[in-house]
Amino acid sequence: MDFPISGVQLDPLLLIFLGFSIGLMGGFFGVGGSFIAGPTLMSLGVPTHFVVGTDLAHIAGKSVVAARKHRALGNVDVKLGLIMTVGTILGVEIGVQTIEALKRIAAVDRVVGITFMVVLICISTGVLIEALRSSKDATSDSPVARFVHKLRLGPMVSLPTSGIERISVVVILLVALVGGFFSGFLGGGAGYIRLPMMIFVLGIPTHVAVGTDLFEIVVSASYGTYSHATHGNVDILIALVMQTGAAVGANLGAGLTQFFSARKIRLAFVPLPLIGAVLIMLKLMKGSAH
Amino acid sequence: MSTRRMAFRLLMLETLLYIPLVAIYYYAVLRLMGHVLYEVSEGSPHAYALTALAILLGQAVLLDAGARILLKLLKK
Repeated sequence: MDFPISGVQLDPLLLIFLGFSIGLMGGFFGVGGSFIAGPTLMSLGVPTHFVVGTDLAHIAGKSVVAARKHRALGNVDVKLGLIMTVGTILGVEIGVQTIEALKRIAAVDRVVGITFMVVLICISTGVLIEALRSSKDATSDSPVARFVHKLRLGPMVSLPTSGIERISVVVILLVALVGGFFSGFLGGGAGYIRLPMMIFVLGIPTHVAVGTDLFEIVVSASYGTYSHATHGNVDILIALVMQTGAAVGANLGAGLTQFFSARKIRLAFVPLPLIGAVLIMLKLMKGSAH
Repeated sequence: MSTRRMAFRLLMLETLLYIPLVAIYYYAVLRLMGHVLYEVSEGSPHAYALTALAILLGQAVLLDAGARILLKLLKK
């Protein structure tokens, strides 16, 4: 099938299958799934700047489905999500501008690829260590979260849905800013970095973190899609074909979280970023061989 | 039947109802708007960005409503 906007030819069935797999994972783990979608689209020959923007577009659509499902299950902390939105939008814009600067010096592929790989390996290792160390939900025994909850910095807010009495708005905004930057810079909703930060830094219970992260991804990915689309980085036709599989997968994945414990969800998350890292490494090796 | 088992069955039924709705929605959008989207992408970046977002975000509301209606009809 021809995709005239990005000028590539792709198998629609492969895109639907890719969308379904990412949707299933996204709904279950509360992540956008860009660590799989990005490298796969790159390896299929889609230009890197289109990968970043198109990935965001499909993630925005899929996350709406999953977030609505999680909201019905009581897993979304709307107050936290809305506060995080402010930091996320700022972070996304910084990320998008960084991509534009790299495009000007023609270094997007190498810089994005290497950064993506390092980030994914670090996340996977961190979540594995924490999940093996704790037998229950990380929120109760994460030393960083305990420190953050004691911190009295700037305006404070209570998050009853997440079971947090008082937490600094500044810390929430910083977490969101970092997530937003990675979303704009590397594509996707950046749930792969925001979800672990919400659990281990902010101390949000895993199920609520998954739902709230998806809610946040809807906002950040929508903003990122708009921003990238105006810069000509989005092929909406590819995003739509992927979305046919992703919408079904996201609905199913979000529904399945009610049958698994928090620790099992975190442990199952560990290999996912590594798969993405391997795919990027293969792409970079293939690129340097040519 | 246990509540857990019941919830699982309901989820599977909902997913089965969702598949044809999703397929119809995206087939219709691609078929009816594919060419228009390409032309808009060439002409106005802002109109293109807004249309893309409306299609992606609107689907959740439409498909969710469709699935709920079908589920209610089946329950009856």
